[in-house]
Amino acid sequence: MKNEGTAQRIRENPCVTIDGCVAQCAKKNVEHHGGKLKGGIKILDIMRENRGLRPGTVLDIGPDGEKLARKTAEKVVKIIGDQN
Amino acid sequence: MKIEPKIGLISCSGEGLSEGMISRVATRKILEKRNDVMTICLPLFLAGGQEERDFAKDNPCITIDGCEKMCAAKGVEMYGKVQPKCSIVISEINKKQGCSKPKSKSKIESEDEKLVEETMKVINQEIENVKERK
Repeated sequence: MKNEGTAQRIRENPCVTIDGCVAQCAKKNVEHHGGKLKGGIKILDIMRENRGLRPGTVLDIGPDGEKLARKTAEKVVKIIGDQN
Repeated sequence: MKIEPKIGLISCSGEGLSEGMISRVATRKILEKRNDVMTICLPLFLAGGQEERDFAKDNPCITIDGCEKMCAAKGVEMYGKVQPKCSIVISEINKKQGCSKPKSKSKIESEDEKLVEETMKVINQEIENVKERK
């Protein structure tokens, strides 16, 4: 979308993208708008690294889904930490 | 056998406002209850997904936006080159129904159920309107 305020924010601030599937739309959108991409996380990678955790449904990700979300958040924090 | 085209439901993908989550939950619940609808991925649509854009061109779409920025509706118009058959905005439903503003951005609290239900009613009604107009 052509929202200049948002585009400017992603150009001026480091961004971390978190993509749910191989299409990596979040990353593509940031790149398309010339954003400062500092890291990209693919949820499928997190799931591969944690094969024992099986998320529930879209409406209820369940306890394993919560753990995967937590692990994803930790990766985001690490990327932000590396940036600083 | 004539294959009826499905109606596309395109929900908000914003994480900044809790209304985005209401949009996604209500849409998901409708998708699980009806077989005459399908969804397309808004971020993929905006990122240039040709199949998504072709679907929007060839099939009636209903957008379900969280806020008045209406990214889904504008995206369909801008990249699909068509007007959505109907644009639903959660914040407007909220105002009309006098529901409390959802607080959480990551889960539906019990007090948000009413807004989800009201949104589902509106989506279902608009699906029927689109089918009648065909």
